[in-house]
Parts: sequence; C-alpha cells; structure tokens
Amino acid sequence: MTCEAYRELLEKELSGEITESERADLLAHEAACPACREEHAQYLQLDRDLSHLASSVPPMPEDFHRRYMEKISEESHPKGKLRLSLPRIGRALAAAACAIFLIGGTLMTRDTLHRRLRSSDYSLAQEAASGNGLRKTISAPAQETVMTFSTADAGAGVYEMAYMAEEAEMDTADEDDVYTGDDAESHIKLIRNASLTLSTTDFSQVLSSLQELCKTCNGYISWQSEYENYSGLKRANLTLRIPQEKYDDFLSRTQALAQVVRREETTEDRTASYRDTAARLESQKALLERLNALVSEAGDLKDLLELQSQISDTQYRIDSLTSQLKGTDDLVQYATFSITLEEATRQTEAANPSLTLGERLMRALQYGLENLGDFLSDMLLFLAAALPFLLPLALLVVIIVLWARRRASRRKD
Amino acid sequence: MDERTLIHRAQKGDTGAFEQLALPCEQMVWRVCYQLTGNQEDAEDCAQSTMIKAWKRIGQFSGSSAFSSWIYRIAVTTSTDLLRSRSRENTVSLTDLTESGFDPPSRLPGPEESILHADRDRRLREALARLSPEHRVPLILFCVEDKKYAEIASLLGIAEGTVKSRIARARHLLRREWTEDTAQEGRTSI
Repeated sequence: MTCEAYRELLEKELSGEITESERADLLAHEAACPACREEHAQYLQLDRDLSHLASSVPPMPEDFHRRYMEKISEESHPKGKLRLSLPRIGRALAAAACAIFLIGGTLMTRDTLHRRLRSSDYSLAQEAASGNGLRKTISAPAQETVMTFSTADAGAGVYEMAYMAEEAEMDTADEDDVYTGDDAESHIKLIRNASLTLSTTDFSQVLSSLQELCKTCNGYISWQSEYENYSGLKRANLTLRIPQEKYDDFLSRTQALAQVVRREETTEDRTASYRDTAARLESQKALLERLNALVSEAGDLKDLLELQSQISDTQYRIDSLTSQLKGTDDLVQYATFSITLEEATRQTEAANPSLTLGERLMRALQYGLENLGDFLSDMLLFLAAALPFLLPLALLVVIIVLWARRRASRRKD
Repeated sequence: MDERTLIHRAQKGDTGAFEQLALPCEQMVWRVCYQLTGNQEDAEDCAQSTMIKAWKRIGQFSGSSAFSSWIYRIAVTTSTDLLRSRSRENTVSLTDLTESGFDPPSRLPGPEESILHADRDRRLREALARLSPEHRVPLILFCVEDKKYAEIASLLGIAEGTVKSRIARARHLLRREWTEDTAQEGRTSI
C-alpha cells in the first residue's frame, strides 16, 4: 500500500468510518512505514488535546444572567406601551407624506398638465400672455362643473408675439424720424383682443349661431378646431376676426348665446410704434428719390453700380416697413376673438329638478366613477411628469441611507 | 411546569417562563460560544446575543426539537457570524491579541488546571484561531463539542459530505501547525 492510499484509510479511521479489514491494512502499513505511523500518532495526540479543550472553559461571568434578563425585560416592556415606537411613527409619517404628495401634486398640476399635453401652442400663448398691452380680466359667475381651457388664446398670442418683436426693432430705429400722417384720428392704433370661454348644453346650436353671428358682423373665422374631451363632452376652439367697429356688438351678442365662464379682454396701443414705422417709411422713400436722382448724375460705371445696390436695399426696407404697417392696420381694423365653447357637463343636468332622485343618484355615482378614473389617470400623468425629479431624489435617499447604515454598523463594531 | 407549557407562555410574552427555559441552557450556551470564539470577551458578547435572539425569536420556535437544541443552534450561528465578520475585517492571531494586552482566559490559574495544561490549551486555541471560520467551527464542534457529522451539518446548514471534508482539511492544517508549535515549544523548554 502506498502512503497516499494509507492517508485515505487514516481519514476514515479518524472519522470513525473505517471497516475491520481496512484497519488491518492500515496497521500493516504503519508497521512498515514509520513516517505514517508518526503522522497517525500526531493526529491522535491532536484529537486528545482538542478534546481536552472541552474542560478548559472559564467560568461564566457572574452577571451574565442578570444582564440578558434586564435587556429582555426592557424589550418586552418598553416605556409606555401605548406610546408609538419611533419607527412606527416614521412609517406613518412617510405614508402620509407620500399620500399628500400624490394627491396634492395631482390636484395642483392636473390643469397645467392637461393644457400642456393637449395644446402644442400652449407655451407660445403663455409667453405672449406676458406681453405689453392693457388687459382686464373679468371673472364669470362660479361654474363648478366646467373646466376652463384657454388654448384659444394661442391665436391672439401669435399676433401679440409678432408685434412684440416689431417693438423691439422699433426701439433701435432712428429717434429723429418725424411722423407726417394725414389726420389725427387715424393716428390712434388700438388692437383689441378678447378671449371667451362659453358653456352650453346645446353645443351644436350655439356653435352654428356663433359662426352665423361672425358672418353677420362681416367678420371671418381665422381658425377652428373641435374635439371631445376625456369625459365625452364636446369642445370647440375658434379664432374669429371681427371688424373693430363691430367689436362691442359682437361681444354682447356672443355673451347672450351661452353662459360665459371666463372673459378676458386686451387692448393694445400701437400708436407710437406705428408712428415710428411710418416715419421710417417716409424717410426711406425720400432716400429712394434722392438715389434715383443721383443715378442720372452718375459719372462712371462703378458709381452707378454702387447706387443701384443702395437703391435695391432701400426698396427692400420700404417694402418691409409697408408690410409692417399693413399688418398693424389689419390688426387694428379687425379685432381677434379667441373663443372656447364647451359642452356643459352632466352634473349640471343632474341638478335638473325634473330628474327623479334615483336617476340623479345614478348619475352622481356615474359622475363620481368618471371623476375617479380621471383622477387616477391624472395621478399617473403627474407621476410620469414628476419621475425625472423623483428618480434622482430616490437615488440620493438610497445613497444617504446606505451611508448611514454603514456608518452605524461601523460604530456598532 | 413542562417545557411545552413554558414555551407557550414565553411565546405569549411571559419573561418568567423564558427565564425558566433559558436558565438550564446558560452553561451550554456560554461553553459553545467560548469554544467557538476562543476568547472570553467575544464569548460573552455572543452568549448575550444568543439569549436575546432566543427571546425575540421564541414566537417562531415550532417546538419540533428540544429548546436546548434550538438555543444551541442560535449560539453556533451567532458565534459563526461573529467569526466571519472578524475574518472579513482582519485576521488577527491570538498572539497579536496577547501582545496588545488581551489576556487569554486559560492563563487564569484554575484550581483544577495545571500550569502546563493551561499553556498547552492556550497555544492550541491560538492555532485554532488561525484557521478560517469555515474550518474552525466544524472541527471544534466535532472534536471539542463531540457532535456527530449529521448534527454539525444540520447546525451549519451544509451537506454532511462538506462537513467531513472541512473537518479533514482543518485537521490537516491544524496538525501541521500544532506539530511545528509543539516541536518549537520543546526546543525552547530544552
């Protein structure tokens, strides 16, 4: 038997799994191999020494029992059983904070999110809303069932923005230019805009009446869109251009068609900028005449080419200024009406006393379910919108918690 | 009052019942914690933790085994966890500990221990402390605590074959160290 095979038998011997015949082989090898015999002896000595450790245990600390029982008593009888533990309060507070964040966030952002998600012109309209002009807002009587949409403002907003850009250009114009207009009355250039939100149960009838009224007042429809909202109610956005002199007439007759939920009027005085543009136009025209006169006096070809280039540039400026004046004239002559027409919600109808209590209850229940569905979808939208903020925040919290735990465990150790 | 009743009452929050259950197991818990950790300070920490864990987990105790077996298992797990965490942080031999002021308990003169035996036990514990927890724990349970392979496998949650191979490996490593140590000690004493 080799020493290698012997070691396998020795392992069995030490673990108490050796058979009689294997033990005989083991002893036979040991008789012939002193090194293996010595190894076996060392193992046996080691086992004896190890087993001796069993009796070399120091006495248990005297206060061992008292210490763990005190700890157990503290654990089982915390100070004031009714008092909530800190982790429990923390969990309750965290849950409350999450609920407030979700519900509050949804309620606070639902209108903004709806507008932003439904109208691509919304941001433009918002920017324009901060432009120059005289603006007055008239609050309509409370109408709890109608949600106000002001996407129709976008049409007027585009115009307002265009004129804001013009004004910026005007500021850099030559201050010495003098307006030489014809009569004093035509100098006042007022651009009037109105934004209305109307609510009606007879949506189609009111819409056609509005279109008819626009024709009667010699106006025209600049833009119109119709759609149904998530509750199945119809909604139309219209941008109407009405002659200035018919402004008040159209406004009063429109308000008579349906209930006014929101009304906003803007009057913008463009007189000063118009004057500047007109003065610059006159100046350019005078320059053009002078240049044309110089052409006949030009001596050589080089001068002639230079003059032609200047005439071309001046003509371009004249065209541009004329176009600006015409644009302003158009806006002055035609007021812009941005109208949102909404179909009245079912809650208004439910308030109708002709319905029985059962029907009203059913409708109220249906309305509640619809609102719940809307609220949940709004909550999802809010969460999606908040996700870019929540993810880094969550990451930060995880890092802080991990860091705090690691620190705590180090301290403990 | 029988053990089952005491367990039932302890599970309902009766600390007195738990005390009656734990009291007879204290020496055993202390012994196994000391054997596995190899020093009094760690043994005290582990034994205290074992008792408190047993109280906290008494509700999960099904009663399928004896309470002493259950608490023994907790003591082994707690000690093994401590050894593992120490092993991860730093491997410090008992020699280093002794040099840094740690006084091994076996040096304390016991009335029934001779100075010679105390010294031998101290050196053997030093040699054991140099083994990894994976090797040290099964070897001590087998050779010192006199547990069977199957019991060790159950206590440590590993296969019986793994227990055998770890013990064989631990024996091999310890014999090498122990033989060298003994030889060196013999030369020093001469």
